[in-house]
Amino acid sequence: MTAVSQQETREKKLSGSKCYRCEYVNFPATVVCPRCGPGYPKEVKTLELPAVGTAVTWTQLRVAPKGFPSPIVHCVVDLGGVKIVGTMMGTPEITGGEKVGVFEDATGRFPFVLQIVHA
Amino acid sequence: MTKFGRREDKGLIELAVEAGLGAINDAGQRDLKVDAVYVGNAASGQFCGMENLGPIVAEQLGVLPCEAERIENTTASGSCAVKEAYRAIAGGFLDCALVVGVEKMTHMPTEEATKIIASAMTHPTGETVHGVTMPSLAAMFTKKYMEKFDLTAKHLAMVAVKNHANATMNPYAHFQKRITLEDAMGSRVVADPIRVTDCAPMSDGAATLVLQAEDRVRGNSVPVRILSVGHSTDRQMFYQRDEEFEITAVKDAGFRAFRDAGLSPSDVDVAELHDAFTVLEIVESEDLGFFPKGQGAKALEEGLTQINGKLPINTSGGLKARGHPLGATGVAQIVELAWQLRGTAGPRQVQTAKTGLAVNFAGLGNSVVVTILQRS
Repeated sequence: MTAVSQQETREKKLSGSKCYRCEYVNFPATVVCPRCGPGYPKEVKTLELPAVGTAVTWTQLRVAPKGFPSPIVHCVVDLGGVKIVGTMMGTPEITGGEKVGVFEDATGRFPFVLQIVHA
Repeated sequence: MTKFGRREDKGLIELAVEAGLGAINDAGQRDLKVDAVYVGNAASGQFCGMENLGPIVAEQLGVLPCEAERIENTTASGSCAVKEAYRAIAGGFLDCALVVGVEKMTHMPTEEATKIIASAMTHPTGETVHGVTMPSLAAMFTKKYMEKFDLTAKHLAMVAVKNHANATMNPYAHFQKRITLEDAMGSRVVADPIRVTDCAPMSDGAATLVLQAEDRVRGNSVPVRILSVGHSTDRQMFYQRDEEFEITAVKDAGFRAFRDAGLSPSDVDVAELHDAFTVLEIVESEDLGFFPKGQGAKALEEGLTQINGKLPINTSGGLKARGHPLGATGVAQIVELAWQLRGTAGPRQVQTAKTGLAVNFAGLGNSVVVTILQRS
């Protein structure tokens, strides 16, 4: 298999969680705020994350685990204050600070995929 | 302990028994009464299709009846097994415990083993589902660190060169071959900026300790005391932690261990650090307080962490070159420190080593155990 290729795909909004007591946003969503602790579970609500964020760091992994395309590009993205990791479509040059969009994965292999977007 | 490496000659339990008998023999007490067996192991279910290691190893070692259990905390399984034994004895619940760390993994094809390790160490819904592996995470961490501090590819290579050289003096080490800076800097890229020589290998092996209450120690071997164990846990996804450029759980576990031992970083004469990736040895040496933040690479460059330096790090060869059978690693570190503190480490002996420290952790510092030992 080769790198995840560009594909016709739709934007995807991920579901995170937000503590309305301290405003901390988390992904994947949790029922307890990691900052406030288990005493305030009722403060944590589901929150839709923005579909576009900023590249923080990335790497091209040459040996992917069994069942994944190899090589594979992983990228940490800041999505409105919460940092997540995902698989980047293609093998773009990334230096950090690029706008990165979250998209549906047309192949169904990944929960979502990432792609550089231009303003 | 057993020789680490590709051990096609022995199965998982056979390795544990080999190491167990070695330690019991070393304790020099023919009538040793073992109250408990703690087996540190990360993933025997996936690697070997076997889960119940505690009772099986205890039975094979002929120490029944006793308590027996397996302790799992991914790559910190070994040090967690040591911690449980230490606390049970220090708390007065047991007089003698046998701690066995063991893993058998080299029979798996690389991409299969990579998948198993990722499943054991990455966040299941945040990372594992994307094919994220330990090298992906370590690469992204290293890249950020290189941007922030004076850390270069050459520094990473220097860690590998040093630890390979140390391993050539350790008959139990996986690798028995020196490498050069050119070898390291020209080796295959695994995940930019990490190369093969920046990663600990997959290894088979086992390491064992006999821990006894102080008033029970007899026999010929020189006893070494565990002074303290500090353990701390941080967020699983490293980029979600509060501090971007430190492994906070190393700092916290170190603080607890130094506090409970009544010592400070300058008291440590020899250290075994968790160099699953070369960058980690440098970062840990800073976060423990051995060197100021951002100065770890400089200390390495000045030779301070070599065997004849001010603070020798990974005299055994470390995970990098002694090898990294996941659950065995944390126990093997303590074995190395015990040999160093007894003065029986042979050609890699650190002169006048009185106090030793080990860092063993899960993943990229998610759960960190710091153990401090001293010559009695």
